[in-house]
Formats: sequence, structure tokens, C-alpha cells
Amino acid sequence: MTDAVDALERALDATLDESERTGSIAYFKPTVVSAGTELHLGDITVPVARDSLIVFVDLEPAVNWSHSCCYLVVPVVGAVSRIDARMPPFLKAGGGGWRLLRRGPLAPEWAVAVR
Amino acid sequence: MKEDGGVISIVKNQAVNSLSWQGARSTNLHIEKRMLKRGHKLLARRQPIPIERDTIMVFADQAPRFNWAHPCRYLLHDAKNGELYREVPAQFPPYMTGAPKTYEVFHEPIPLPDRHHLWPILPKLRCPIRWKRGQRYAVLFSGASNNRHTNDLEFLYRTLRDLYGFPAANIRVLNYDGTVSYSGGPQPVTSWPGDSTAYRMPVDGQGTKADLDGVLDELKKKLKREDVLLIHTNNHGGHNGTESYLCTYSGADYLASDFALKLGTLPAHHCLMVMMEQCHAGGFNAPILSNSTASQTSVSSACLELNNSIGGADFDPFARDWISAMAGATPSGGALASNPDSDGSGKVSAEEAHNYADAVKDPYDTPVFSASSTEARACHLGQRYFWFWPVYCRILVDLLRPHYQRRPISEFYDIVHQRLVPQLTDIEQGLTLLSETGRSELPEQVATRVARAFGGSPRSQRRRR
Repeated sequence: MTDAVDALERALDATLDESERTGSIAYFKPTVVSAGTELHLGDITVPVARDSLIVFVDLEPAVNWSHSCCYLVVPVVGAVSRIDARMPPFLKAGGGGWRLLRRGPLAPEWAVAVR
Repeated sequence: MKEDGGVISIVKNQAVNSLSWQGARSTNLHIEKRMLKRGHKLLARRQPIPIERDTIMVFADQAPRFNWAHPCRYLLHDAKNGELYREVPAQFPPYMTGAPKTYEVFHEPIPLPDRHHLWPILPKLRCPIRWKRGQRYAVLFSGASNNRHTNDLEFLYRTLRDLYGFPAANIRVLNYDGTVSYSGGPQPVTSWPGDSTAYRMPVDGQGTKADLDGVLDELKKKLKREDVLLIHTNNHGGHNGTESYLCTYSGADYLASDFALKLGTLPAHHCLMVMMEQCHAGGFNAPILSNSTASQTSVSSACLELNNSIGGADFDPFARDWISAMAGATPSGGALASNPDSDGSGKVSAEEAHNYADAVKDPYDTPVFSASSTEARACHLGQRYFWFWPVYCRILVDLLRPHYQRRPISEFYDIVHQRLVPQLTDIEQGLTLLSETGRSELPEQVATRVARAFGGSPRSQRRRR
């Protein structure tokens, strides 16, 4: 799991610009999504071409939903893809299982959405 | 070597100057003002930091809100001339506990701690609020709640029950999963941050469209022509490109048009007052006004249709300030920035509450107010005093204050509303009669004396000229 978390952190560093990194809160689900799955997350559908981990990044954590956010599809092998969105995956009941990956230094602690 | 103010200043200046624009906004800097002698054993937990010469040490915390370990740097400065001679990356600070007095933060763009700690006080006691005709109902809704949304509902519930005397049976609370709970921290759910007491509001259902529809259907059997209905929606909202919607705990979200249509099925009533905190709330204003069956309708929203609303550590700022205007105090009992009752009428109207929240708003919010008429703007939840009442209220409040200070707030107000107010009816009826007589006779009596003092009325003076 530590190796996976490191890989996700590197994906964040490579995909987000500096202001996004410092102001955002990132979450991940610790289960690999199988290739060919279509995930319904928030307000979008995310196609997963290869076995991947999914990262959700809240880009404006101090604001009520809906607002800027994105999903990163991090394949076990291959390039990371970013899909911009407006809604989180855990707003509705049943949208659990997400864990905190990283809180940017400018993101308030009270805005972390998971325990 | 004693602390040399000159060198310390040089070191601080260099340390801050060395930060990038982003670093200066996100890195906290600490200085050890005590000189570390050459060879001193300095540890970043288990990592040795070599002190090659007499040194003034600056510690740069690059992620101050994170728990340890996380990236940080030791900036080692020559104690003679303040020059930086080595920078050592690390993962731990020099002191995990028991930092000496010589170690202090001097550049703190990220202040700690994050949550506000406010000392709660007993809110100022004011004349109990009166309501003369019809019933007052309230629906408090929060779907996919976070802590702040649940706290907003609790603040409004307490205000309606304690200060305005809404009967408990007339308030419906729909929150999250049907309990006093929410997503995220702090966990476990314990106390309301306004005064750190336990949550009091009974939750009647989930924050879903179905449960909200159920409550509105229940109101269809109750609402009458003289009645007032307050609806407060909170938590999150969205916009689908065509219209706004209210997020729910589960199931379908509530489109603005559908919500307005649902309100249109309610029986005719005196006043509908709506306050909405969620993002894109402004998109509800026009549909609600168009469909409302109330004689007077107003909608106070935290933001324009295409905008978001800001959140906060314990409350959403707009909802908090609107409720504070109605309550006459902040959640922790403190004073407001100004008197929301701007016309001194003894009541805080829908428009006055909105104007207060707008005046003190977080710059991110874009509050928008809509009303069906001038009378709708003046819609209110209860009146504190009428014309001659300020003197009467002072007498009453002075007598009530010892009881207020000795009893729990909820018990105090239960006694006031259920036992005291009915006994004051004859006195207050007399005062009301006096007020109405005064309102009709007094202006002319006073005008005569003013004209006498100023040599005639302004009109008669103009004629003479």
C-alpha cells in the first residue's frame, strides 16, 4: 500500500500545478479498478482502460459543492489521465470508502470530507 | 554569546527573502535565537543536523498543518555575520515537545490551530418576542450535510424555539441520514460549537427529496391564510446547465423548478420566507416567487445562480449571519456588527436579515434577495416591541434577568412562552391600545409644538416667503 500511495503522490505532483497542489485536498480509494470498468463518480462517468487506482482532488475545498474538482485515473502501467468535474464521489449515501491522500498546506483542515 | 539583535534580524530577513512567492505564503519559519556552538548535537528526531560553526538556526516548516513527518528544512546561518552556510532537508522539527523560550515563530502565513476557539457567553436578554395571529411553521433541510451544515440547522432551531417561541411541533428538521450527524469530522458527533452544549434539535427525517416532499405534504393539511412558513435549505447545490438544484443525502436531487412547483401545491398562506445557503441557491429565487401561494414571499440566497457559496469551520458564513440577525447575537452569544432592526420597528424582517448578512458577508459570497412585494420584504417571524414598549420591555427584562442567569436557556424560554406571556396579555393589550392611540394622535400633537418652536411649519414658512 505504501508503494501505491507513493505512486499516487507522484501522480498528483505530475498532474496538478503548484497552486492546485497547495490549495487542494486529494482522496483515493484503496482498491484497484479493473480495466474496462465505467465508473459513475459525482457528475461524470470515468472510463478505465487499464487496471487503475482512482484519485479524487477537491480543488476548492472551502466552498460548498458544486465546484472545481478532478479525477485522476492512475494505471498500474501507463500514463495518468485527468478528468475535470464539478461534484465529488462521496456526497450521496453509499459513496464511501475514500481515504485522505493529501491535504495541501493552504487547504483548511475542517474541509476534509472523510474521517 | 548573547543574542545579537543585529544578526538575528539579518538571519530573519535572509530566511524570508529566500522564499519563493508561493513559499512565503505556505512556509512557517521559526528561529532558535540561542546560538548553537560549533559541534552542538542537533537532531531532527533521529537525523543529525551537523553544526559546523557557531550557528543561528532557522527552521522552515513547509506544511505546517500536516502531522509529522513531512518536508521541512534547517537553514544554518553563521552566528557572526548571519550568512546562510548550509541548508539541510529533513522530515522532523528540532523540538517535538518542550521547545525552549528561545525558539519562536517569526513568519507564520499558516496560523495554527485551524478551528476557531470562541468563548461563549449568555446572549443578551431581550424582550420576549410576540406573535399575534396565525401559526408559524418552519422546515429546516440539509441533505449531504457536513458538520457546518448541521450546525447551521441547530442554530436556527434554537433561535426559533427559544427566542421566537415556535412550538416544537411546528418545526420539522430533515438532516443527512435522519439523525444529528454529518459526513466528515469532527467525529464522534458531540456538541454544538456555538456554546459547546449537546445538540437539541430533533431530526424528523433524512435530507432527501422524498422526506422533504413528505413534510410539505404534511403542511398542506395545516397551513391557513394567516400562517407563516419559513423554509431553510442548507448543504450543497449544483447547476445542470439549465437550472439550479439542491443536493440530497440520497436519491434524486431537487431541481429548482420542481421545488417551486411543489411549493405551489401548498394552500394559500400569509407569508413564505425562504433562506438558502447552498451553492447556486440564487437559481431558486425566481421559480419560488412565481409559484408561491403565499400573499407575501421572499427568498434570501447566499449566492447568485451560477456562483458557489463559501463554507466555514463551524458554520456557513451567510446562514450563520442571517440567523444571527434573527437571533440578535452570534452563535456564541456575542454582539453583532450592527443592529439588524434598521428601522427600529421591534422586528427583524426578511429583508433586514438579508441586508445584515449581506453587509458582513464573506467576500466570496454573492447574496441575492427577491421579494414578491414591499410587504413581503417586511415579513417577519415575531415582534419584540411596539411603540411604547421599550420602557415596558426594560422593566420586564430587568425582572427576568435573575431567572435567565439561573436556569438553562431552553427551560427559561419554555416558562416565558408557556406561563409568563399568557399572563401579560392584559397589560400588553393595554399598551397596544395606547400605542395605537399614540400613533394616531401623537404626530399631530408633536407637530403643533415643533411648528410653534420654529415659527410655523415648513410649508407655511415657504408661503410667507
